Amino acid sequence: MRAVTHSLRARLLLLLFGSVVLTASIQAFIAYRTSLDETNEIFDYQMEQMALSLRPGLPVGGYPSNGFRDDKDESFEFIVQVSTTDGQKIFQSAPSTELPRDAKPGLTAFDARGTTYKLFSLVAGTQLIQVAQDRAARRGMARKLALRTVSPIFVMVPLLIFLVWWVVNVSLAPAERVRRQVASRRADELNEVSEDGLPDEIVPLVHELNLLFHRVRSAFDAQKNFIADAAHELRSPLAALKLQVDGLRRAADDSAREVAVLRLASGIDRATRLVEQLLMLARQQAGPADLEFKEHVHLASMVRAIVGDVWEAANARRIDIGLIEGEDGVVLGHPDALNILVRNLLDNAIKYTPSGGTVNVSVKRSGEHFQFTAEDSGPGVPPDDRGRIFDRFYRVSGQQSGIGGSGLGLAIVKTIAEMHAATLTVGQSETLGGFKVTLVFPRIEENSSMGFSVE
Amino acid sequence: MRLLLVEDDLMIGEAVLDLLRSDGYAVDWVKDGEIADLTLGTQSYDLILLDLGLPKRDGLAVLRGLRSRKDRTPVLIATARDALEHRVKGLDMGADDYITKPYEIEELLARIRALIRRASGRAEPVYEHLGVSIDPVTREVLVDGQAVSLLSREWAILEQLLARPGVVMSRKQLEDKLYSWKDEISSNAVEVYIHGLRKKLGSHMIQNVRGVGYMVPKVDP
Repeated sequence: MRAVTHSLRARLLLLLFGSVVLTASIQAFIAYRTSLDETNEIFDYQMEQMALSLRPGLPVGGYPSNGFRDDKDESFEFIVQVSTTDGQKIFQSAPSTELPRDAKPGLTAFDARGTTYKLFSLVAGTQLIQVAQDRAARRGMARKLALRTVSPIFVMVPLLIFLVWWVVNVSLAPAERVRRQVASRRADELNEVSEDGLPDEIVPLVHELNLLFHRVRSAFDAQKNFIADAAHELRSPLAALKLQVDGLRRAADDSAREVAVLRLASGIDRATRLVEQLLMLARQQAGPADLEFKEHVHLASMVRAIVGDVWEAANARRIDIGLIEGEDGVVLGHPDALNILVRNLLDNAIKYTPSGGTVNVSVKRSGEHFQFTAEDSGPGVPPDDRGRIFDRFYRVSGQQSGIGGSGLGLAIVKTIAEMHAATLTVGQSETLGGFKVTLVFPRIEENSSMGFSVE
Repeated sequence: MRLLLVEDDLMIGEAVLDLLRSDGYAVDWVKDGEIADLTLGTQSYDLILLDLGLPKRDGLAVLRGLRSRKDRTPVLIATARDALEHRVKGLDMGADDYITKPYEIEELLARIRALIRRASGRAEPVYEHLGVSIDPVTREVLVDGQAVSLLSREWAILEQLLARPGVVMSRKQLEDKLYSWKDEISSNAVEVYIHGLRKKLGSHMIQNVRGVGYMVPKVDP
């Protein structure tokens, strides 16, 4: 039943069929009634005319009853009786049925022999002319006539229903064509449905459908690319591990074995790091995207803490890392996610800056916004590569192959920045000459802060 | 046998280099496509182990350059790109074999042996020449049914000479095939190994063509 009421075609047919049948019935009813009334009038008129035709009068005693009796006279539809005004019968067409002589002139009715007669009485001079008709017989004939008037309607109804069915089918054919096109698709078949020849009412729907197809296809492709990339990227550390195990197995002496074990350990570290970053990226991408559930984060104190965390790693490579500006301000966000973001950017800066270099970090207000900047004295990123460094697994060409990045750090940064509606820009540092990354957050007023800071 | 390893992943490169060296191959390792191109223009190898995803120039571009120079050196592509289209493209562009990472080292070595065997015009894995039976896989050498053990350098020289019987190879050529860039070569090393081989296999096996070099004769002189 649900399916029927939800099919436009079924609904159209049902309603149109209903309308056809209803109007036809009403029409038939009215026609029938009109026809009955008209027949009645005609019969009345007939009786009246019959009586009027006898108006000149009959000779008194001129037409005595000849005693002829016929059984069939009982079924005579019309009875004519002529009598004088003083009660003397002059003519009677059905001797067995006496018409009441006291009836008023004009149309009246009387009961006789178990049925009702319609009676027309007319006084012409000294004679009373009366014509009666059996109402049942009269009704039967009227009905027969009325039905004959109505019968074409019953022929037209099926024809009309057929026409309605045909028109509905023809009109809905384009929609049906689209349905078939979509229904016959495989799950990964996301190309567009043709909008040619579709009625104006369906075009917007199909257009939206095509836009949706387009979006789904992009998401689908992105997912497919991610899987292909991830498969490729996971294979390299696995290949290294496999080879390192072989190396260990073949190591001839203790020192060779020691080297092999060290290599195997670093191979496992690398695979672990990659898997962790992949998971982190997946988790951030699946994370809640709406700001409603976010907390107020004091960015400056968070960055201060992270610079403290990475200082040791930087110092080990004789890199001077420092916070050159730390203006307080509040942004809306997930503290854990922002922590990962800042951490990734600082790790990157330290990784790609040659030893003896400098990394500068700053957090400051800029109008309605709040700005985080990290810049270094490293080799930077060529302008051609800047647009792509946030892609998963993208590595800058010509980058020293000694630096083992997973290629995911900046993709994670981008995901988190998007989640926070922060603008991410990269360029060359004016002061240090290396890579510079800037994040601009929408700032919120601190006094409106009801949340807690992360310190 | 001298191999060129083209691989940008440090961990994989180090491990493969060690394994191939321990198997007696002389291996040079380059880490990007540009250097691979330069190297292949100046030095000849018995086989190239080629990665595809390389910095600066893709492995396929290196392969295309090699084949456009009519260089027939066997190329074994070893890559993480495992899609059918990549495998087909790699082979169609002139690679002789294709192996996807992660691979088993035994399989890699077997494929290297097969390619080298084919390149020297043989199909049979164990063969006999002048009464000496040679198995390149086990490196078992039988002289009159008696097993003879060879030093790995001796084996390397024998393998080179046996690959093209009747062809004379100079000391320089042999050194080239025996040593990679890193190896130190002492001036008379080749002579020492030749001497050892003649002692173990019989002097008829390796002929000294004075002023030219050494060869394994096609038929017993």
